[in-house]
Amino acid sequence: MTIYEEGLIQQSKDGDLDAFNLLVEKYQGQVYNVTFRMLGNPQDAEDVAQETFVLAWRAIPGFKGGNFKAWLLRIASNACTDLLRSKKGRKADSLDAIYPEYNPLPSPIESPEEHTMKQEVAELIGRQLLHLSEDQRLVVTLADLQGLSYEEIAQIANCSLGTVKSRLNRGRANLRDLLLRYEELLPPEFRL
Amino acid sequence: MFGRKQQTACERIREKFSPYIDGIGTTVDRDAVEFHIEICDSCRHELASLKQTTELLHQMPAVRAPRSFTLAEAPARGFTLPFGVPSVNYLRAATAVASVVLLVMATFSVTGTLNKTGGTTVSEATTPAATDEVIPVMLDEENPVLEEGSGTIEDYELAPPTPGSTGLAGLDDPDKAIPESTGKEPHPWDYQQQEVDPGNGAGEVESPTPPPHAPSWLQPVTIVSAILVLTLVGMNLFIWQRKRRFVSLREG
Repeated sequence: MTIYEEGLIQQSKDGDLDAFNLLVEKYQGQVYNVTFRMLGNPQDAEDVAQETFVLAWRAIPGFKGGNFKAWLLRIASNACTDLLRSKKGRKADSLDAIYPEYNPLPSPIESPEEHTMKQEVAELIGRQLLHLSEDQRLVVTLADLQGLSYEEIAQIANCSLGTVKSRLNRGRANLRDLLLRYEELLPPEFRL
Repeated sequence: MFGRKQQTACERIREKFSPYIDGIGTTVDRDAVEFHIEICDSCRHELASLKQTTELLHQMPAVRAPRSFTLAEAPARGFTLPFGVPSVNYLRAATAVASVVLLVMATFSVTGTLNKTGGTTVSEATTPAATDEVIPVMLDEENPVLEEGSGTIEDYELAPPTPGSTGLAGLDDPDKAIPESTGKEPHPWDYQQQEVDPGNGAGEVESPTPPPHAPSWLQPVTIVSAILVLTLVGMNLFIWQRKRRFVSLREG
């Protein structure tokens, strides 16, 4: 965390909403990606992401320093868990429903066909991610989609390093087994 | 027979696959993995498929946020009490303490642990106020205690009624004491009207032990504790409902 960011955090603690919104602009992409991968529904992901920043504004006076990104993503993770638990008792949305990838960022060097194929593969992987348990889905999302370290993931998921490694192992293996059912849809170089 | 199942060598090595794929972990673990996959085809294929799965995940495109999540206005913040502890923690602590106090007070009320015990003297007990109520007493001083076999049936015979009387001494002359047995030993049971003197602590009168009672302050404290606990539980529920507010709003 840079000194500038520490200053923004301190100003936010003192009630400066503009300083806090600068932090929001920096982390909203990561927060939305995590909530989208956890919930699979763009509308739910949007609501939970917004709620995350409202909760963060209220809780930031109690932030005692350290990894601000991990602290923020922990709020997002808990909010996702709360929503998923509240939905468990009711009729669950079909996990096989197609939730289109919401305007994925196109790469400037790939052709439209490559971009379309990538989007289809991403939709396939995104759907299969939702079949993992919440714990494994969170760890796989944070490690492989967000590139966080094991220590950061342990802080966000509120578990030990050993548990992170174990969940990551099982999550990747389970996702591999799920993708094997649709092997023909994967790119040739990635046929498992 | 009991305890954890013995792990196979393959299971132990596969636990090290994720750190190996991510390029972290100890040198010893990395060497162990590389040594094992040279001799175990199954684990080698497993590691390769996990590497490809991880590579697929790494190539997943980032999803663009549909809009900005900046806050238009500052939401109300919860206040913090001393030592930087959020107010909700103090609320929960107060609820717990009030619940314990209520439980203790209720236990005292039920078991009577704080009740004042009986066996007190007349002067200490809160006996009913003295009245003109007349109670029969046995006068031990004027009449000897009836000893077993000390008298005969004739000793207890009443004097024959005088002419013009009803034969009942009490009706003829209410103030007159019941006639004693005539010509015989003094009647061992001589009932006389006697007024109760509440101030007379001569110890001659034994009144029933007053029932134990609870201290006067116990019931109000119990009631106040019950009201306090109900109020604090209500506040905790209100805060919990506010936290789940966004779920109900989402469902419309």
